[in-house]
Amino acid sequence: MMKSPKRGDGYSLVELLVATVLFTIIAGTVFSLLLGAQLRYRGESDVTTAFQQANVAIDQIARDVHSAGYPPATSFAAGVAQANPQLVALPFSWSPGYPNAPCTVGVSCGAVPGDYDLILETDTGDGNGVQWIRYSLQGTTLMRGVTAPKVAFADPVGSTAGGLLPYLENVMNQSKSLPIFSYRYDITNPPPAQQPSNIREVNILLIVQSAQPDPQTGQFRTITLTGQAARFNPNQ
Amino acid sequence: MKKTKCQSNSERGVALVIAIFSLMLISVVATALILTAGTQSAIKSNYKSAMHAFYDAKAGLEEARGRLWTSNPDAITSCVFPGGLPMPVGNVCYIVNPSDGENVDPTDLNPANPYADFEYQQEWGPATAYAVQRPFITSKSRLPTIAGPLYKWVRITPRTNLSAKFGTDNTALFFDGKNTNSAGTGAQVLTITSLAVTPYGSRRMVQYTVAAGSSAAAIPAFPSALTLDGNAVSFTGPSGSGDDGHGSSANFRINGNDMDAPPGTSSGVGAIGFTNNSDSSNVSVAAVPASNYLSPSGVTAVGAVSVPTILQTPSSLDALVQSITQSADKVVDGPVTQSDSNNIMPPGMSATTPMAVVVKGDLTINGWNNTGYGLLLVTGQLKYDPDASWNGIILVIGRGVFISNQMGTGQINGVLLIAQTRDPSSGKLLSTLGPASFKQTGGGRGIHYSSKWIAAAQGATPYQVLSFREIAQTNP
Repeated sequence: MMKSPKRGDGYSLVELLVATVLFTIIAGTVFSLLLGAQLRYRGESDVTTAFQQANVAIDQIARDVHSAGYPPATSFAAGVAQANPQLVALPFSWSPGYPNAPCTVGVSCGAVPGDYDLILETDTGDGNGVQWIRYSLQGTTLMRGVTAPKVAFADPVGSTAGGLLPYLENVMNQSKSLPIFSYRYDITNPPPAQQPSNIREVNILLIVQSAQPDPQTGQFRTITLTGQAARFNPNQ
Repeated sequence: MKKTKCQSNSERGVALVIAIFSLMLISVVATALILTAGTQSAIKSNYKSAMHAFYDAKAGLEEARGRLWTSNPDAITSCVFPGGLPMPVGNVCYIVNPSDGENVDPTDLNPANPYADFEYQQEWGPATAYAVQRPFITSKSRLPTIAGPLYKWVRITPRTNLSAKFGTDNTALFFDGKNTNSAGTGAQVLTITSLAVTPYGSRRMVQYTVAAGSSAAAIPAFPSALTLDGNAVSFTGPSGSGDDGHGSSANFRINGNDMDAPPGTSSGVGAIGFTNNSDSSNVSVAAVPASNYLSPSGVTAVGAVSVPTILQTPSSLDALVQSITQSADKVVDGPVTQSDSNNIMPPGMSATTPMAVVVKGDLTINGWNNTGYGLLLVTGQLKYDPDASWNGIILVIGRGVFISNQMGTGQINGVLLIAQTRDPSSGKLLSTLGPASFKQTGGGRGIHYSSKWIAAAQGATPYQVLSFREIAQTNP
C-alpha cells in the first residue's frame, strides 16, 4: 500500500539555500582543483614535448657522429683520395681553408666546427654518396641540413647554407652562453691535436625551452639534455 | 538530540552528490596523471628501444669480427673462406640469431619478411651472383638462460669496387696496411653488416669494413722471403758443403718461389730484400753460392726492395709491435728458451689453428723437434736451432738479430723480417732503423716463401675495423 505524503517530507527554503551554498562551495573547490590540474597538465605537456624533441635531436646527432668519416681515405687506393676528394668523407668539415689547410678549432677554424655549428661528412647508404650534414644554431632554432653529394674542393659552409631546415625550436644555449658542441681529440704527435680531423668525441648539450610559458607560473620552463657521441672511423 | 526520521531522509541525497563529485574529482586527477605518466613512459620506451637496437646490432658486428679470427674456438672459417683465402666475390656468409621459435631467413626477399636483406643488392648490385653458404651459422651469443642481444642476422661479404662506390665492377678489395687496393696486395677487406630488430619494432643496421690485423696486412706486401729492414744490415749464410745427415749448409736455401703456387705456374717474391741500396755490396756478396738464393723468373733474387710505410720507421714498426702484442695469443717475457722440455708455445697451436706468439726479449730455440704455426714476434735476439720448423711469419723487430749456428733439417715456410728499431744497449727507440742482422752458419733448410702459411698467419691476428657506418632504416 502506498504511503501518503506527509507535510514535513519536503525541503524547506533554508535547507535548499544551505544545500545550494554547500554545493557551490564544493563545486567551486572541485573545479578550481580541476583547473589547476588542467593547467599543470598543459605545462607538463609542453615540457614533455620539448623533452621528446630534444631527445630525438640528440639521438640523431649521435648517430651522425658515429658514422662521420665514412668512407675514410684508407678505403681507396693511394692517390685516389687526393684526386677524388668527393669520394672520401673527412669526419668533420671546417671553414675557411677546406680541405687543404687544416685549422685549429676555436682558434683559426671560424665558426665551423664550433660551439654552435658542426658539419660532418658521411655516406648514409641512401645512394647519394658522401654527404655533408650540418647542424647550425640560428637564434633559438637548431637547423639541420643534408647536402648531397659532397662537392670536391667546395666550401662546406657555403654549400650547406641553402639547405638548412628548422630541426629543433627554442634552443637557448646561445642566450646562456653554453655551447651545444664541445669536442675531445685524439692525442697527436706532434701537437696541436685540436684539428677537425682529430675530433674523436662530440659532447652535446641542449638547453630547450618549452614552447609556451607555464600556465601556472607564467614562466618558461627549460630542460637540459646532454649526450656524447664517439666517431668510430679512423683518423685521416 | 536524537535525529528524527524526516531529517535523516532529507540528507541521503546530499551524501550521494558529494560522493559523486569526490569520485569525479579523483577520477579526473588520476586520468591526468596516467596520461602524463604514459606519455613520459612511451618516450622513454622508444628511446630505450632505439638504443637497444643500436647496441644489439653492434654486438652482431663484434661477434662476426671475433669469429673471423681463426684462433676463435667458434671460428667461421669454413663459411667465410670455404676454399681458403680470399673469400670469393659473391659469396655471402650469414650468422643468424632467431628468438625462440622464430625463423630468420634474410635471403627471403618477400616484403612481408621483417628480416629480409635488401641491403645486399643495394650495395653489390641486383645482378650480382649470390652464393649463400648454407646452413646459416648460428649465433653463439645466446645461452640457455640468457637471451643475448637481439640482432637478427649478420652478413659477411667481400668488399668490392662496386660496394665501395669506386667502380662498377665487383673486383675484391685488399688492404695493405695503409690503403685499399684492387691489386690483391695485403689482406682482403670484408664488409660485415648487422641488423637488429627489437620487440618494440626498432630497427638499426650497422656496418663494419674489416681486414686482417695490421701485421698480416703488411707482411704479404713484402717483396722477399727474407727482408732485412734497415741501414747497414748484414747477412751471413752457411758456407760449408756436404750433408752429415743432420742437415747442413748444402740444403740451405732461401727460396722466393711460392711453394703454394698452382702446379705449372710460377709466382713468388725475391729471396733476400734489403731496404737501403747502399747495403747491396755486403748482402749480395755474402749471399753465395747464388744457386742457394732463388726467385721466380724476372724477380731479382737478392736486391734492394721497398716496403710499406708502416715498416719504414722505428716508430711505425714499434706501433706494429704494440698492436701485435695486444692481440697475441701468448706473450712471454724473455730471455726464454723453447725446447721439447720447455714448451712455451700456446696449447692448441696447429696447422689448422695458427697462433700469434710474442717474446718480449731474447728467444732461444734449442732442441725443439717440432713445428710452430702462425706469427712469431721476437723483440730481442732470436737464436734458431733448425731442428725446429716454423710455418707462417717470423718478425724479429726490436734488437733485430737472427742467429743460427746449429744443425738440423728444419725450415721456415713463410717469411722472415728483421728490423732493428731499438738501441741494443739502452733499449731506446732509434730515430732511424739500425743494422738488422741475419746469420745462419749451421745447417737447416732455410726459408721458403709460402703464400698459404702467410695467409694462415694472417688469421692469427684479429680483424681490425677499417670503417663504420650506420645504414638508415625506415623505422629507426
